Amino acid sequence: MISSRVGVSALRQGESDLLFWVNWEVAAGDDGVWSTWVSTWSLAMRRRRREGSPGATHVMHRALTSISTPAAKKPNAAFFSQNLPRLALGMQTRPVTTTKYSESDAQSLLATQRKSRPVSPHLQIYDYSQTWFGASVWTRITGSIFSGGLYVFAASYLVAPLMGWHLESASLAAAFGALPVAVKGGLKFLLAWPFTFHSINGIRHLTYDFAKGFSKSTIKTVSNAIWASSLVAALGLAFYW
Amino acid sequence: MASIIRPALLRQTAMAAAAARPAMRSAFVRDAVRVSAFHASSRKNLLPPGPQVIQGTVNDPAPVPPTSPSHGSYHWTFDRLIAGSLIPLAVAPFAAGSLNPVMDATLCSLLVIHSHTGFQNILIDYVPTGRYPKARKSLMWALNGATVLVAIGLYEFETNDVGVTEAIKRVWKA
Repeated sequence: MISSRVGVSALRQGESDLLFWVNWEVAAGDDGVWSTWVSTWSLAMRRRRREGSPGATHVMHRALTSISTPAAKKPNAAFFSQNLPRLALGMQTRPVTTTKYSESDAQSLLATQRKSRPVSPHLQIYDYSQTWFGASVWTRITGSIFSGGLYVFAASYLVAPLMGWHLESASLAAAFGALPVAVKGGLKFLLAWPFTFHSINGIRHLTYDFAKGFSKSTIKTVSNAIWASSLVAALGLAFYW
Repeated sequence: MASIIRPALLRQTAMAAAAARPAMRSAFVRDAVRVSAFHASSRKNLLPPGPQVIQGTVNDPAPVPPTSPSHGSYHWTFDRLIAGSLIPLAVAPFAAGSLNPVMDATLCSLLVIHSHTGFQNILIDYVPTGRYPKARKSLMWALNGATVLVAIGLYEFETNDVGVTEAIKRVWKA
């Protein structure tokens, strides 16, 4: 990709020869910004008149040798003399220069470019009008809350006799029951909503696994439904169950 | 415009671009912050990019790992089966009020497997072997150890206490 010249392709169409010759260069652009541009682009069209005229490969070869000659770096020097044969053929040419990087230079450039890319996990690079609201990362986050809680509780329960903690269901229920009603309701909602969201969005992603429901309108409708139903169910669990 | 004039104009354009190039490259290498300004989205990364490991040259494609169904499709299907079988087990206590010990133990076992593979997926995604080989290995083993402790702890809870669904119910209604 970096500082590489890609592609010479010849295309023949019916009676006439159509020769495309495209050189792409990907390099560091203005102001240290990555940019991609076609550094040179030559399109030659000529009609093959008779047998024995220079074939497509021949023309391409000449074109490429002109690129790699030192004169190509100073297009003024021998521009006309070099391109006269092609001009005579009615071709348009643009001189090309490429920058040759050493292996280590190219590696450090690529590393620098990679470091400026967004890193997963990421929450803000996604389009809100696409899958953001029903994204699988929310299922992962809510699931991690519960799995983390389960791991902490179960491991604590295992060492509780050694540490003198009381994590039996009776003491937990007594401790929770002693809290004010508003705090109990709030805590229940804070637990219930991740649970309902994880369940419903999890089922949604199981349907994704069957390659279903990927149209944009369906994604929007379902993500709205997921949020509405999970919030309603969580409120019900927290305050009426 | 006559075609004889065009090459001259194009030559000037190409020369201007060529003249600007060496300075640009060094600026690029020096100043990575300005590079990020080009990106359309702001980078509010939760994790650092980490050390960059480039195998081969920059033009080589990323290596394709050897196929392994037990790490790939079988594992994927297994994950989905566990997740799918948790749906009825999560709904049943709401319908029945609680679960009997066997169902409760099944729910706990599936939850432990579901959590374990979920944590594994998180480590695989965010602690890639190529960048953090040692951290990945040690975290995986730490997870294995934690899962064993959790399984024993849940076994103790199931055998000495009232069971997970019943315990949640009692706390919830306290």
